[in-house]
Amino acid sequence: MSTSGSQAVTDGTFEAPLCVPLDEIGRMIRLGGEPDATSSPVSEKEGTTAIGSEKSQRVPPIVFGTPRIEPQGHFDVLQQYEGVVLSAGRDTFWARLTNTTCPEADEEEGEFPLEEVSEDDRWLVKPGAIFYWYIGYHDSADRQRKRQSIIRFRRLPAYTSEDISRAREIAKELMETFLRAERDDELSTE
Amino acid sequence: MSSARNDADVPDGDVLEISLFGPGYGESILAYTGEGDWLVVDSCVTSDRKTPAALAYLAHIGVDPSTAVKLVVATHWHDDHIRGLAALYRACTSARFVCSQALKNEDFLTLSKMAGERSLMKSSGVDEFNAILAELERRRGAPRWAMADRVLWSRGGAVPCKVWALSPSDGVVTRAFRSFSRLLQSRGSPKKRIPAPERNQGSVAILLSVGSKSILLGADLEAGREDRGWAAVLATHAVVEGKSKIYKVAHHGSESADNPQIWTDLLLDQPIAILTPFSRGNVHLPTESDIQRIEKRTRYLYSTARVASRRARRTTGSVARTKREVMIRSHGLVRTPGHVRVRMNIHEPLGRVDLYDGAISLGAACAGNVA
Repeated sequence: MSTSGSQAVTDGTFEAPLCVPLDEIGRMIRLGGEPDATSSPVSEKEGTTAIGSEKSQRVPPIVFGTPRIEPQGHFDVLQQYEGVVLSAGRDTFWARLTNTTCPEADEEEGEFPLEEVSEDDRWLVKPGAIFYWYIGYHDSADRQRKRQSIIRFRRLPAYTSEDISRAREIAKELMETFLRAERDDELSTE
Repeated sequence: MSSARNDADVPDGDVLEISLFGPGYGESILAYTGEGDWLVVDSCVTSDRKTPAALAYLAHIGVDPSTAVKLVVATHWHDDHIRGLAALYRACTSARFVCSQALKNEDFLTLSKMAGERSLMKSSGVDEFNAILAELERRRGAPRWAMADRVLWSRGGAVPCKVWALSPSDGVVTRAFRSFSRLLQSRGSPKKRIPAPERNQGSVAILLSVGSKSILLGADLEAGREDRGWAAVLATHAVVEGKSKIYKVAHHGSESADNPQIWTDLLLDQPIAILTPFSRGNVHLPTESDIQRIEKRTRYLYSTARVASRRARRTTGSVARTKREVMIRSHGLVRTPGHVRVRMNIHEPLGRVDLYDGAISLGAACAGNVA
């Protein structure tokens, strides 16, 4: 592991390091919640936070078990990915990764050992599951630096009966619109 | 080798053109049916990740998609076939949207609305579908539902044209309805992205006939058996439009989508076969044996890109070091689509194949004039 101080990364895969106080990550972890992909302003209520002063970026909320992070220091996020599980085997899983630090970068696919996922999250590793992968440096309060990889799976609330009824109502209206348009089509061709 | 780009010419009224675009992930077909009419089947995007490849090409040759494109077809709802489809449909304001009859189902619409209400991924196929539904609502239109032996679009005149759907079969549609219903029963389970169905039996294969020429677009239709896939298409044979000279090989050339009868019953001898490669997880198509199998059928085999490499990319820096330590293997997804273009005068037996942007010949024949 490298020593403390800024680390120049030259692979062109990110624009600027992002710095997150560790207690802030802990707070996010405790808050949890769901992100709204369409809203850019960030609020504590939503369980998201802005990182860095010049390059604000939403960090997706993370909900998981007991956080095992140190109480002080910073985690410099060098790169962040959003991943979706493509297939899951007994010991490994394949995922497609979107680079959210540098959105114009190519998408990638990779095979991960299941052991990279915390035991609490492993039951979530199924096709379609979404996770976030953070790569960065942890700078501790005593000025030590560690390179870290953190994979966190999103825990999303289950669909409720209300969710289903609301969607069903919209779908019914949509189907009626289609059927009406088809009838109009038939009339106009007769 | 790919040709230099010298393709900015609009085809003549009696010329047939099939352009296939595809990066390592995704595909789109643009077909010129003569008389100024175009149709688009599926969509992939250019390297800017936004512009549909078909629209970029139409702009390049100076064709206005709002009037020229008559049909926009979604063969099935897999991520590698729908990127940019909503933007494409919005630009093609006089086009009819076509999708599988298997999606004419309230349960499916409910599922897509549920998943789309709060998007789970930055690039979600559900978002794409919901955007198309919104556009349909705005136009107060309905999709043209594709099923076996249904005419999707036709034109008379000096150069008559008919676009047939060859699939899905009734049996596949019924099974799809049942599976949507089962998915809806899963209340109480955590939300996740709707996984892509593993089988491509509901995919819309198309037969395009222009004058005396026919083209078979295989989508991702799998071989199947009894009332499914190619087995159902070959069993019914309801569409009699002559054998095809051009074949968009089904499902990236995979063996699971092949049936010897496709080559004997639906295609002319030595057809021009075109395909896009596919890479997902540890699946890379076509495989060497797939290429060898197709080469036995035709010497004219072309791909929009090289078959994906399994080699990991070597990069430097802390991030790259960590990625190498954490992942067992990885590969990048090529995002600049290659382009295979086939042009053919409807009155002549000769055609011409041009390869652009990394497209290659996989068979014995090179690009250029083909018999």
